[in-house]
This record gives sequence, structure tokens and C-alpha cells, in this order.
Amino acid sequence: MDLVVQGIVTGVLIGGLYALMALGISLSWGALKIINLAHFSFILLSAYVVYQLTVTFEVDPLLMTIVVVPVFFVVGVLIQMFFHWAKVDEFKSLIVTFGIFIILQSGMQTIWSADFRRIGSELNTYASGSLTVGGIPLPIPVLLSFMAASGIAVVMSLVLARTYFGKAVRAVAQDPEMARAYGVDTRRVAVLLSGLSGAFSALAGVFIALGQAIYPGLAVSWFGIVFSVVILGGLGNTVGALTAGVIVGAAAGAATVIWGPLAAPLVTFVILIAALLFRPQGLLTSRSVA
Amino acid sequence: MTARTRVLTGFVVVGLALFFVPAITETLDLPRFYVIFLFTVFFWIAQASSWNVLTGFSGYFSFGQGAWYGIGVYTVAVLTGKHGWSFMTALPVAGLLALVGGLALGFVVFRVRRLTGEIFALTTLAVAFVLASVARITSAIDGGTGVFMTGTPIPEFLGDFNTAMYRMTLVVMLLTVLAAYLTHDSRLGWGLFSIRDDEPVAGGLGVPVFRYKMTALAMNAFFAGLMGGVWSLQLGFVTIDDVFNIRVPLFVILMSVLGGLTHWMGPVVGALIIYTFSDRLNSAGLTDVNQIIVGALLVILALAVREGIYPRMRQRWVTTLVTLGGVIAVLSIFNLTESLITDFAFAMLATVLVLMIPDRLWARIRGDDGNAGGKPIGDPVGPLAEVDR
Amino acid sequence: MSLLEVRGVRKRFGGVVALDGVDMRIEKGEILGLVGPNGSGKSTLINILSAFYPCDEGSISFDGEDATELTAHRIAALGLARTYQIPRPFDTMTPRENIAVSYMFGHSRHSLAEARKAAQQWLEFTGLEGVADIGIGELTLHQLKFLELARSLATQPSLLLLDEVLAGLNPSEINESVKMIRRIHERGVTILIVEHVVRVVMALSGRLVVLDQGRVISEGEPETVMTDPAVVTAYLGEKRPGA
Repeated sequence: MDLVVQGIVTGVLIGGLYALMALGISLSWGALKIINLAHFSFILLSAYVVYQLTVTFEVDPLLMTIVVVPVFFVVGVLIQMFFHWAKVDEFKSLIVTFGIFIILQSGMQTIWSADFRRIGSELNTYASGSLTVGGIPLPIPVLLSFMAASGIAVVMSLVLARTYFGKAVRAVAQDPEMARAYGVDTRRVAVLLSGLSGAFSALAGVFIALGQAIYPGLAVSWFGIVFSVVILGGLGNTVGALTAGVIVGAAAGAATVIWGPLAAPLVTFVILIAALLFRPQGLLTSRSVA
Repeated sequence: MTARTRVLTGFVVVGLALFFVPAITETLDLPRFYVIFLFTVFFWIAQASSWNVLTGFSGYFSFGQGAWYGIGVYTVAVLTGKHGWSFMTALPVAGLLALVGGLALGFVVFRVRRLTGEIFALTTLAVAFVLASVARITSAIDGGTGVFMTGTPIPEFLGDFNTAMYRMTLVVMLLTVLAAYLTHDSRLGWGLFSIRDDEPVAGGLGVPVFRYKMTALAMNAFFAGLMGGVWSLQLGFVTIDDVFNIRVPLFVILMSVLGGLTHWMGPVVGALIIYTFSDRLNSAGLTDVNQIIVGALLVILALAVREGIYPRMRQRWVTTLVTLGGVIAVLSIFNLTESLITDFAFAMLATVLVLMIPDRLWARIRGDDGNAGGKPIGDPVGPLAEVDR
Repeated sequence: MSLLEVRGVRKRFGGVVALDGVDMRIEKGEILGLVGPNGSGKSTLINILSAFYPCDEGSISFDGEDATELTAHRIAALGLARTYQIPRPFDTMTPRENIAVSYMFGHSRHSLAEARKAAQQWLEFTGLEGVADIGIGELTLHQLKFLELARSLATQPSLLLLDEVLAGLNPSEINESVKMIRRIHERGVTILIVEHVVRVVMALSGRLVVLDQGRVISEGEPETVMTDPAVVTAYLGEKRPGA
């Protein structure tokens, strides 16, 4: 029973990471009506870059946040500009981003091969550390990602509710034409939001590199988790994403302890299907962007 | 002769011609590889065609081709490999199980209120993953260890292994494409097109939308599963990672988008082109680049070629034949490549590039004023257009 | 027995009550006009009648049969057709194909071959033979509206719901459309016309129903209804005291 509790608690914290991974897709789907499948490879690519920089220059991996976040912000911006130029709508976005995903995946595999890559413990002091709370050891990377995710979720929620940018985003999400008519620069909003999504993915990638070994197949394995969190949390709902992340994380954690690691994807995909079919608008609808 | 009689005759002619290819290859002492290449093309034609009946015709985008293919492969693998069933008895069961799977999914997902295309697409993706997970966990199915098919005997009348694979894939492919054609040229087809264009309006005009969508999904699943069942023999050792990976769902999308989503011939042409390219890249040792090219192609095609290559092929059929024939002739006469298939690959590449030239530019090159204004936006090759020919 | 009977129909969208207990009937062979200020619920009522979405409460009977729970395609099979305010043609098909599809599935089943031939009559009836085989993108708004009409007629309806079919047309196009509507009526089709252009509705309709804020506030002959104080208030707002 203790193991189950431990599994659930760790799962809850990992849920923070899931939420962070889901934020990018949730925002761009909710506000920009673009489902960016390439997002998954951005996260992985960020992780690989953190790994490579850390190993090559022998620096603190957490510090690499300063490098990847701005870079991927720009990537997000560029992608959105590309979508705008190519007049990509919701439906096409699936195909096009799927293509970009494939390109990036094969690229990563070509560069780093299919082998597992892990930042060694001499460079990655965080991985070995853990905080023990109530008799349960909580790995530092997971704690850090949970704190980052919660912080970002709350801040974004406030930004969306209180700032001009946030209101512009919500307006664009509900009715781009009307927003434009009221003077909102929809292109700038879209581009900024896409940049933010990129930045969030990059951050998620940092924590992934800190917390586990990475390999190309990881990106595909995240599909179920991230989409369940996105749908369950409600498109564009940042606090919802955090809540959903926690729920999915806890469920997956419990499943792993009770039935073994192979059960986790099954559980998350079943949650996804249930969410898609019964509550596609998410659990906390009142604060959704879209 | 009506259009339908012409097409059906075409099926018979092509079917017969293809049937004799293995025999001809042997007599002429051509590389055995040609037979293997062709039956792999048949595999992809069937997968892409079955996928297109749902996605292209009805507009409901499916990421789940892997699910039906996987059910087909594993049904035969488990029944023959673990329970000693004969291949011929297991095969129809594979198709049927996939069909049931499709119906079950459709029954749940098509009843969702305010179902959007994205939700449907994601659900199909999720279903494929769930099936993979279930198969991996359940030792009765796979349990993570894989299933050996190598001991499964094939009925003797089919010939040696490659000939048997060839004949079976040929039959299933012909059935699938025939089904796609008959759907296209029927009430069901027009009903699906109207659903694709505007589902609520279609319903309001009397189209039985739920029933038709279920039919399209069922056809997709059945043929995908049936061909999957046949293909299990080719795989020999069936594993989760090999069966439930991104390859099948990705390629069918790519092939149909390239060939054309709106016409039953689109996936056929698309499968032929894409598989030939992919095969040639593989044999040149460029396997990773292979995937990158596939991804890039998908992006370009989704954006650039709206109605696909096939409608253009029909419009500019003279050009198509001349380019294809010309390139193959030049390459083989001057013995520039080591394989007829490579000749074919280059010929198709040239043809695709030529066909992708936009209409206006093309008209200028040809020196006439091109198509008279008023060509329908979509694909005008439905039966009603035949009235004017 | 009326062709269509609507009793106590209610519909809300979230917090907004669109229809608040609507009672109405349409007699066979009449042209009934449905009017009311913006937001009165006219479009919602049309959508419910054509089963675009269900009502929350109330009942609808069509030709004696209970049609409250029917899906869109079953209502179509019973003989009800509607046009859309903003034309919604099948845009990958030609006008001829649009009409043929309609004929194939409408009131009774028909084969592809029959549909191909039959489409011609509706193309001619609406004057669209000249543009029958070109792309939808090349049609004018007026032509698209006539295509909507042709498509609905191909289902051989007994009741046709016209949802603001004149919106966006110039005066001469409006006159053409009115003539067309009369010709449709002469063929024996009962018509419910929702319209903002008051003179047209008055001229065409035998009877008028006025909706305001989801309720029927007046009904009867056009002249009588339009001078009803309740109706005037609904359209123009309360008379200021002392004005």
C-alpha cells in the first residue's frame, strides 16, 4: 500500500511535468486553432540540446535553460509565421505538423542515434538528489518541474485574465474577425503565443534531460499523456492543464505500481479516449480560453 | 459502353495481366525482386485505398490505420502461430475482427455530440495506441515477446512463398480497390462526399449520415485488417514495435494526399509513387534520410497540391504518358541504371514534377489558353460529369 | 389537421432563453410568414423544425406524425426541406451534382442514373441550366440562393422553410426571387418564410406570425398583425411617455 501511495505522490509531481509539456499544445490549439504535433519533437529536441551542451561544455544542465528557452521561443515564432504564410487551417495543421514531427524525429535519430542518452551524475547533480517528505523520497528534477509548472500555470492564468495581451489572446480565441475589428493585432498575438508555446516546450525539455535518459522514441510515447492532459484540462486552460496533469500523473503512477510500467500508457490513453468522448471541453470549463 | 462497364473491364484486364507477372518473371529470368516489389506495392495500395474510403470520401481524418492493420496481423499470427489454425481459416477472421473493431469505435465516437474532426482524429490515434498497449500486456496476444509465424504453412496451390504472397496480396488489393471504386460511383459515395462538404446540410437533405459514416469506417477497417492478415506471413516474426509503429498510419496519409483524396484512383497512384521512391532510397542506403524526405513531402503536398496528382494526371494524360514512357525509354535504352524499378522511379519523379506545374504556367508553356474557365474546383470525374464526355 | 404543429417549444443556450413556449401551426398549402425583431428566435425555430438541434421542451408534429425526436434525415424523408440564410452548397460539386445528390436522398430514394436526369428539371425551373456544370465558386449570390431553392425542391418537400432567402440581394434580384417563391407555391409546396424585408413578407404571406423574445406575440392576416400595437412596440421599442 505504501508503494501505491508513493507511486501516486510521485505521479502527482510528475503530473507537473506533464502539464508543462501540455501547455504549449493547449494554448496553440485553444487560441490559434492549430494542433501542433511537432511540439512533441520540440520538447525532445530541447532535451537533446541540453544534453549535448551539458556534455560538450561540461556545464550545469539547469543553466542551459537560458539557451534553449529563447531559441525555441524563436522557433515558435517562425513556425507561426510559416503557418500564416501557408494559410494553414485547423485540419491541415495536423498533417503539416505531423510532417514536421517526422522530419525532426528522423533528424534527431540521425544525429544522436537510437541509443539512450543520459547526462552523467557528475554533471547532473540534481538527478541524484531527493527531498524526503513524509517518508517518501521525491526526486529533485521532478520537484523542480512541478514547481515550474505550477508557477507558470498560475502566472499564465493571471496574464490571460488581467493583462491586455491575455485579453487579446482570449478575443482571438473566440472570434479572430471580431478581435481584428476591435484593433487587436491578431498576427502579433498569434506569433507571440506560438513563441510562448515553444518556450514552454523547451523548458519541459530541460526537465526531461535532467530527470531521465532520452531516446528518439520518447516523443511518440508522450502523445497519449499530453493529449489526455490537454483535453481533460480544457483547451487553453492553463490551470486546467495543471489539474489534469496531476490527475493523469497520479493515475499513471498508481497503474505503474499496481500493474507494472506497461499499464501506464494504457491508462493514459483510456483517460484520453474517455475525455474525448465525454468531456471534450475539459473539466474546468469556466476558465477556458476558447 | 457505359463508364462503369469500361472501368470494370479495366479491372479484369489489369487483374489478369498482373496475375501472370510471376510466371513471366520466371520465364524471362528477371530478378525475383520485381515480384516482391510488386506485392509490397499491392499491400500499400490496399492500405491507402481502404484509408481513403473513410478519410478522403467522408472527410473524417483517421490516424488509426495502424489499429486495423494491427488487428489483422495479430489475429492471423495468434490464431495460426499459437493455436495452430490454418492460414485460410484465420484470414477471414482477421478481416472480420478488424471490421468489428471499426464498428465498435464508430458506434461510440460517431454518437458524440458536436464531434469535431480533430476529436475524431485524436481518438483514432489513441485507439491505435491502446490496442498496442493491450497486445503488449496480454501474453495471450503478444505479451512483449512477439509471435512466430514462420511455422505457418501456406496452402500449396498458391505456389512458392513469393508467388503465394503475390497472389494473395493481388486478390485483396483488387477487392479493396474495387470496393473503393464501387463506393465512389454510388449513392454511398455521393452521400459521403456530401457529408465531407457539409454534414449538417447533408443530413437535412436526407443523407443517412450515421449509417454512411459507419459503412465507410467498417470498409476501412475490414480491408486494412484483411491485408494485414495476409502481410503477417511476410513479417514472419510479429512484434508490437514492428506492427504498431508510425509507418502504416503515416504512409497511407502521405500516399493518399499525394495521389488525391477525392478519387478512388488517387491512393493507388500515390502508393505506387511513394513506395517506389521509398524503396529506391532504401536500396541506396539512405534509410534515415528516407524518413526526413517522407516528412518533408507530407508538408509540401499538404500545402501545395490540393486535389492530388491523379486529377492532374487525367487532365494532362498525354503529357503523363509521354513523360513516363520517354524517361523509362531513355534510361533503359542507354542502360543508365541497374534496375527497371529505378527507371520507373525517375520516370515517376519527372512526371510528378511536370504535373505539379500550376495550370496557368502550364497553359503558357503549351502556348494555348489552357483550360476554359469553369473547370469545377473539385474533382469532376464523378459519374455525373461523364454525361458530357 | 395542420401540416405542421408546434406546441410549447422551449430552447435555451446556456443562460440565454431563445424560445420560451412557442405555439404555432402551418396549414397545408399556405404561405406563412415568420417575422420578428433581431434575436426573437426565428432562426432557432427553423433550426429546431429541421432538426438541426433538438428542443428542450415541447412537441412538434409533422403531417400527423410526432416529429419531436426525429433526426434531420428522417424529417427530410417526411417531406420537410429548408434553405440556409447564407447559402451552403456542397462546394466540391457542381450545381447539377448538388441537386442530384439532393434528389438521390430526399423524400424518396432514387438511383444515381435517375438523379442525373432529374436534376435537369430543377436546373431549368430555377434558371440555372447555364451554370449547371461549373464550379460553385463561380456562382453569384443570387445564383447560389436559387441553387439552395433548387436543392430543396429536389427533395420533393411538402413543406419548405425559407430562412432569409432574400438577404443580400438587390431589388431586381428580390423581385425574381419573389416570383420564384410564388411558382414554387403554385406547385403545391407549403411555405414558411422567415424574412426581414417586410413588404415582401406582407405581399407573399397569407398569414403572419410574429415572434419576440422567444414568444409568439401576434398572429393573423398581415395587415392586422403589422398594425397590432404589441408588434409595433416589439419592433420600435416602448413609446416614450408624453411623446
